[in-house]
This record gives sequence, C-alpha cells and structure tokens, in this order.
Amino acid sequence: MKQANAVVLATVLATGALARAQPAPPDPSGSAAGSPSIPAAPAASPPGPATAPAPAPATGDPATAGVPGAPADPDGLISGQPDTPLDPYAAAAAPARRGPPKPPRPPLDFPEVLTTPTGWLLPAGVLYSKDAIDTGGGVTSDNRVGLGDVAEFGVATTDQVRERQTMADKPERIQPYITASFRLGIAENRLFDQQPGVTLGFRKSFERNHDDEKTRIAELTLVASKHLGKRAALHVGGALWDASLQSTVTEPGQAPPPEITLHGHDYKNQIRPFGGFEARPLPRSEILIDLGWAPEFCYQCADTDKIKLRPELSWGVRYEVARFMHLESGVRVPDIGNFNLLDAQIFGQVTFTSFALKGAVDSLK
Amino acid sequence: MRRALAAAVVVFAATRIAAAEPAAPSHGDPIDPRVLAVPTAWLPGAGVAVATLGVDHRGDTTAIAALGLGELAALELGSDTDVRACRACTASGPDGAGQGDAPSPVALGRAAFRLGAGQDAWFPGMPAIALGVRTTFAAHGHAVHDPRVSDAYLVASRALGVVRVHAGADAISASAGDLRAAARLRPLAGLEIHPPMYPRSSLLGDLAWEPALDAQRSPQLGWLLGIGVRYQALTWANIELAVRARQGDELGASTVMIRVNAVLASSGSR
Repeated sequence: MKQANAVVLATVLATGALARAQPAPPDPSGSAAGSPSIPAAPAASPPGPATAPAPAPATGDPATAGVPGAPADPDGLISGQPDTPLDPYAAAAAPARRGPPKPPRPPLDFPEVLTTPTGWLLPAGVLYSKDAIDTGGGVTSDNRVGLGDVAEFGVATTDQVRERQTMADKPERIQPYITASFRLGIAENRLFDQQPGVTLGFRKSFERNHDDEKTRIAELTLVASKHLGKRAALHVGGALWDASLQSTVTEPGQAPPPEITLHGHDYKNQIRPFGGFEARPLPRSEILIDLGWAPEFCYQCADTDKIKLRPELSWGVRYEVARFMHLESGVRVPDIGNFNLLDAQIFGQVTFTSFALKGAVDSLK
Repeated sequence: MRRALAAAVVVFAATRIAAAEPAAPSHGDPIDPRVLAVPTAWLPGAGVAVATLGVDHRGDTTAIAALGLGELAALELGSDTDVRACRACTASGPDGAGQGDAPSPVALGRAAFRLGAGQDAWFPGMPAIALGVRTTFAAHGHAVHDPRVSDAYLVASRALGVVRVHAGADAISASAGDLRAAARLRPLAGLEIHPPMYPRSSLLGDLAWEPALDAQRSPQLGWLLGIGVRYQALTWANIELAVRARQGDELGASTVMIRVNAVLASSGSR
C-alpha cells in the first residue's frame, strides 16, 4: 500500500512538472494581457505590429518544418527570440488598436432652449428625440436628425397652438398639432473668431381640422447663438409668423367661408423677436430661460382678432443624466402678456441623443 | 453559551442603532422639502428622490414625490388635501361668520418646480433660497366645479445652530369654475428646533396659507398653522406627528396627522 502511495505521488508530481513546463495556451479572445490568471505572453512583446504574425522562418511553425531551405531551429530560438504561440486572429484584431485614441466628445449644443430655437445645429448624423408632458395635459414629441453639420430636419408635435371661441373664453390647446421643420446654418466660430452660430429655420404645420375649423401655422426664424465663456450662452432671434383659419362649415348652395390669414393684415403682426439664456453653474446642470411666441385662434372674434400671437415665457433646468440622456423640467406661462398664475404649467421632458448613426456613417468613410 | 451570544448580538445591534447619524445629504444642506406645509429652500441632490406619505385622523391622505435635478432644482409630483371647498360656505368662510355647510377637503393632484441655491452658495452666510411654482393638474372628490390652485413662492432657509429658520412670500391664485381670485401675496414662516440632547428629534412649527374654494363666491385665503415633531428613525427616513389648525375652524376641528418622509438616492446620484 505504501509503495502504491509512493507511485501515485510520484506520478502526480511528474505530471504536474510536465504540465508546468508547457507554454501557456493562447487566449481565444486574443487579449491574454487582460486575463489575470494567465501570464500575458503579448505583454512580453511590444503592442501593435509586433504582435502580428512573424515571418514563417521565425515562427517555428509546423507548417514550415518540412520546407526546403527553412533554417533548423533545434533550440526553439531564432535571432534570440523565443518561440511563443501566436494568435492567428491577432492580425485581424491589431488594426482596431491602431491610431490615437479618439478625443472625448464635447457637450452637445441643443437645437432648442426650452421652446425657442437656438443658432446651433445638431452635428451630422446625430439623432435627437425629446418627449414632454405638462400639467396642462400636453404631450409632445420632437424628433430631429443633423444633416452634414449644416442642416437639420425634424418632425414634431406641439401643444403651443391654442384656440378659444370668444375673447371671454379660456383658451384651450389644440393637440396634437404636427409640424415639420428644416433648419440650415453655420456653426459658431466657423467663419471667423467670435462668430455666433446662426441658423435659418422654417417650421410648417400640417393642416389641422378641429371644431369645424381648419387651421395651419408656419414660422420662419433667424437666430444667432453665442457662448459667453464656458458657462453661459445667449440666443437672440426674430420670427416671421403666418397662420390661417377657415371654417369648414358651408351653407348649402353657398361658397365656403373665406380663409383668414395672419399675412392678410398688417405685417407687423407677423414679426416677433425671441430669445433665451443658458447658464451652466454646475458641470452637468444648466438653467434655461426663454421667451417665445405661439399662435392663438379665436373663432368668433372679429377678423382682425381671429389670429393672435401670444408671448410665452419658460424657465427651467436641464440635467445631464448620461451622455445620451437629459432631463428637463420647468415652468411655462403660455400668455405672459396677460399673466395669470393659474395658467402656469409645470413640465417635464426627457431628451435622448444618439451618435450611432454618425458612427455608422463615419465608419463607411 | 447561546444566551451569551444572543446578548452580545443584541448589544452590538443596539450600539449600532444608537451610533447611527441622522440623514444628511452629501452637499451639507438638509433636504426636507417642507416643514409641515411651508416649503423649505432645501433641494434634494441630483438624482435623489424624497417620498412623503401622510394621513390625518379624518382619513385625508398626502402622497408627494420629489426628484432632485442637477443640484439646482427639484420636480415634485403628488396629491394632498390641504385645500378645502364647499358648495355654500358663503356665510362661514375663513372669517368664521355665520352658518353654512362645512368645507370639505379637496384631493388635488399638484406638481411643483423649484429652482434654488444652497446655503453659502454665493457668499458666506447666505441662506438657501428657492423659487417655486406649484400648480394643479387634477382634482378628485370635490364639492366645486373645476378647482384650480396655483402659487409661486420665494423662500429662504438657514440653519443657525440648533435652529433652522424658513421665511418667504407666497403668491396664491385659485379658481372654482368661473370664479377666480387673482394672485395675492402672503407671508410664509417656519421654524425647526433640534435640541442637542435629542439629536434625532426636532420640533416643527409653520404658518402657511391655503385657499378655501366656494361655489358661490371667489376663493378666499386662510391661514394654516401647524406644530409637530419629527423623529429621524432611520438614516434614510423620518416620521412626523403634527397638529394643524385653520383660520375659521374651532380648536376641536384641528387635524392630527402622521407623515413619513423617505430619502431614496440612486447609486449614481451626486
């Protein structure tokens, strides 16, 4: 029995010694350096091209063993370099590690403050989606894509357009009101130093039939945005508005009622200034304030009062939860001209941005 | 042996509980969003949520959740029964004159947005300040048509040793149906005392204003006085017991309420 134990012990020790003498197996993932339990063979050699397969004579590879003229390698050393097993997939993996690391992306400049457009465009291929809800029952969505660093296209629903029957009534929002937008512009500092970002945008609604009334809106905006240091930005712009209203109720044998338009009256009623301010007191948090305009339809009013533009004041905070996700919340007063605290709305919105399309496009270049 | 081991475990647990510190946010300011009814200027940290659940002896409930946004602001969403309404309380409004039907609580769904800065944020000795807007988005079980209440307030809070002081002004507007009261300005005041000998307990008192909605006339504002105690039972939760009296109510009509506040911080919150 004692002899058997000794034999077993000797066999185990011999097997262990032989196993230890063997070279480490290659890492199937090709990243042995990242494995703590395996001595990192690639770590002994320089990264990059040095990890690529060596010329056939230097490998000691069995494929070259029978080749005439191939030098003998009795000690497993050629030119003083030990034979180490090579990863056949290293050549494929090596190019991915070449080149300098990509610099971190700068913070994204948003195309809207809270309700007004900015002079900044989405970068090429960047997808943007904003969904909002407020205490007035409004639910909106805004989806955009950056085009070639010079333009931007988007489709959105808005709850800013409001209606009322008479001036004495409380205005109600019309929703969903679907709009499409196209903006083009020049990025900040592109032409010369201290040049503000400038965009020319056009937003137009689809025709909306509501309460036997057919309405449309359109807005042409020109806005300039400028960073004031690293922690503030200012936006100033002007808008040329147009809107139309037409009743869909026709008397038998009568022509349809005429269409009332905003441009059918004084052009001063169409032009409005707007602007906003952003401050970033904390690295991931911004305070936003903006003043914009929104059309309001009054169905039973006199023709000159049927379409009015109402000022809208908003303030709030944008918080960067993650690089791809921002939370915004704040207060919006729809008609700040006739300030009524009861009309104030608390809103919350979440914005997602994605560079996936941009990355896919860049990889094709 | 087992008894000795059990005794040791109990002593160890009791020591741990006694040594536990009251909850405190990472940036130094307290985060309790209100005294009893008066809002404070404290804001939850980024990604920190504060949940409040309460009930009074009449069964009226309160449930409010607040979420800190970027250490600059907070968004609150919830329901409370602080506002009262009646169909014909013309003769028994907040001034207490005459006889009418008793006001009943209105469960209002309310949302609030608060923007502010913490203590000493701009200069040493500066109190925390917050500008808040609160508005109605739903109403249930009410005696009047379409009740709406909105208020905008500016409040300052400062911890001064064992005392925390809150003061501000509140502009309140309310409507019931077509009867609307324009915004009127009222003071806000709150006081918290933290006795050093009871590090986990505090005494609370505040004075707030709430509208009384009337189906027959425009809403009236009445004061709401509260006094109570807060006990920091856990590092992340406290419990409050309070008595509240309203303008125009008899002392016997005061309400006794119990309320629990819990602080929930996500792992990534700062």
